[in-house]
Amino acid sequence: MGLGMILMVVGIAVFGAALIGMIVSNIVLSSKGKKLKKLMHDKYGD
Amino acid sequence: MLQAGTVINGTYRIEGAVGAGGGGTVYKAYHLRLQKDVVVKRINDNWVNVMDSRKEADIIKNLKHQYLPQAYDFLKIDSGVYTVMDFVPGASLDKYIKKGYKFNQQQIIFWAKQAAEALVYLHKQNPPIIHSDIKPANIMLTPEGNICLIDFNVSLTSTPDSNISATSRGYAAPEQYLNLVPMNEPVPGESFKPVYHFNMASPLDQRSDIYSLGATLYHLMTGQRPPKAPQDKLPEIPLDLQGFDETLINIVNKMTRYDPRERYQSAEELLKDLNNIRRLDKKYVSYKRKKLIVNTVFPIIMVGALLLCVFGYVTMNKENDEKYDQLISEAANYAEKGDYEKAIENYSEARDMKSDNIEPYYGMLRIYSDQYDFDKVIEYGKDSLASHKFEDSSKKQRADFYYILANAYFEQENYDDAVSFYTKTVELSQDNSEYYRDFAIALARNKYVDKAKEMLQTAKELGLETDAIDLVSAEIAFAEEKYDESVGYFKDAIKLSSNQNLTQRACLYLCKAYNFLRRYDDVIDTLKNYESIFNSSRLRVAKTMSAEAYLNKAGNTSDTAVQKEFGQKAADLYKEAEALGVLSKKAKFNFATAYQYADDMRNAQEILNSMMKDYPDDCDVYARLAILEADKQSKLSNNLKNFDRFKEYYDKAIQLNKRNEASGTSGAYIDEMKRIMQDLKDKKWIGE
Repeated sequence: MGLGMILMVVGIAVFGAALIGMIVSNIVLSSKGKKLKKLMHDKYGD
Repeated sequence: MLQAGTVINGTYRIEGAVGAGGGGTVYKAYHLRLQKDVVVKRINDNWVNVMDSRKEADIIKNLKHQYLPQAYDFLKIDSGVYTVMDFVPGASLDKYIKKGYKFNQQQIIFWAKQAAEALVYLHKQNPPIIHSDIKPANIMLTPEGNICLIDFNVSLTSTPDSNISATSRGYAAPEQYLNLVPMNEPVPGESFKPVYHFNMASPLDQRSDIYSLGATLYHLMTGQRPPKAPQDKLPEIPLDLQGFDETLINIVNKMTRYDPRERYQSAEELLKDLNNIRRLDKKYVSYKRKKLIVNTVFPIIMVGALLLCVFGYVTMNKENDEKYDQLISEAANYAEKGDYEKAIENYSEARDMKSDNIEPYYGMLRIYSDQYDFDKVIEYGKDSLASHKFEDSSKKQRADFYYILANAYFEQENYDDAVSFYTKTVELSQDNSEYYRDFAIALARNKYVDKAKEMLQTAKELGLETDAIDLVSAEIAFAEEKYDESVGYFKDAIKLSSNQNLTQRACLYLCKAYNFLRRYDDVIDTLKNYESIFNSSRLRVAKTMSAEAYLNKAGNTSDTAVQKEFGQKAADLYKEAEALGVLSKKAKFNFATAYQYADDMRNAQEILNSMMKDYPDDCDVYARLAILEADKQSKLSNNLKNFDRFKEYYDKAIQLNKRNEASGTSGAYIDEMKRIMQDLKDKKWIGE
């Protein structure tokens, strides 16, 4: 396996990990966001 | 004091007093024309002399805002000045405070926004209107839950000559009373409400109203009235005040900064923060920050990864190109050294890497060609052309490829296909004399003599060497059956040439010409003299030709001893040729004949028996066996002769020959066999 293939594999792996990370983080943040929205509404009203 | 029922100005009927403020007595009245409740407020006499009430009145009458009461009129009646404004139902906030009402954060923010909106409106007027007396008592809470900012009777324009302020201690901004000169003195027996003269050096502005609103909110949040003494600074609300978030606390603390320069500089600024209070919340800020990080960092990483992939792809292609070039180069080196196995391995690997490049395929053809495995050259070449177009390869490369294939067909004596591929070769590359040389020879062998001469001419124009010209001329002369002439050209070509391949071909065809001229001794001598230059494939051909020459010599003599000698020499040569490669069918028949001449019937029989297995449906094999059997029996004494086996072979040959007869042909040995049969019948050895 040459350097080029290694770089590609690493690039794909990092891309995949980052994509999954972003999706998962956004799912978590979305859930937190909903809770936060409710909290903000409770604290500050409309 | 106005009595209930009094009609002022013919428009307002007094209903009754509802309160008294620092500015004056407040009456509820009924607007007879508009038929609605209003508030009539007598302005305190202390203000009358110094206030330009008409100018103020006009400004205030033009104000229209949902959180401000509408001012209808300013009246000068007797010695009093009255303002007429909307009656705001509900109660002021200070009444709720006095009742001990606890306000929650949502309510406070809701009212603060409304008050800020009212202030934005006031401060935007031209000239800006400063309320200057914002306090819980001047904020009405309507039944709908909204606020209304009242008591404009002391609103001031923010002009440098404004010099009156009414102070509501604790709620007023420090600059409202810090440089004040008292305007009244307490009167014994009467309740004292101090009036101050404001120092012109520090005019009031929007920030003063903001302070007052902030102090009001302070009271609502903490439940504590702001300190009244001017020298007592309003303390900051502690950040851990129960029931309220730091966000709101920080806003109110900023509103009530002692130095106006540290407060909100405008009501818009305050309103903006109030409207975006969620965005100031720590949890919100943290959430937003995390979201920003996630949606910035990850995409940056992804872009970086994509760039890495692209770079990796480019690098991989470069590495592949380098590896491919190395494989081709090493393969060529291995081929040159004769290590064909490794060369083929390298070419195969290169071909797998770039299957549309012609180089590895050409390399493989070269190897098979160098090994004289022309069947493989043709098979591999045809397969390669069937599956690849090689459009990206140069014309020269494709010409070389077709040339090798053409040569392979030529070596197989398939001159039709050889001509076809030589044609494609010269179509792609018109400047190689060798292409035209071999094309001319193939044409000559295919009897296209005129075309061959044309190609020879073109080859000469391209600078073809003299030995090659002689070779082609010899081939053309041979094709024209001018064998003596061809012999001369062939000998010249052999003499001049340093090209081993060319010399080999010239030798073999010279011997063919000698055969046609029945100069069998010349065939044998020539092939013996040049035996050392032949490669194994051509050596086999040379030995076969020598053997044939001896056979021809044996057939041309009736001396059995000479026949035997020549037969044995021929048989020995066929044996040597067989060791170099597979003999053709014709050569095998001749081999058997050679043994027959040498009186070695056993070996002759062995060869023919072996041919019976290889060619079970060939009539010539059985005819030849019959001939051999007849010869064997003829050498026996009469009482031992038995032609049964001959008859067996004869019948089989005749049976198999019927297929040939159906297509209008006949086996080569059938006639001879029939002659023998007729002879045996005539001599009664075999019945009719």
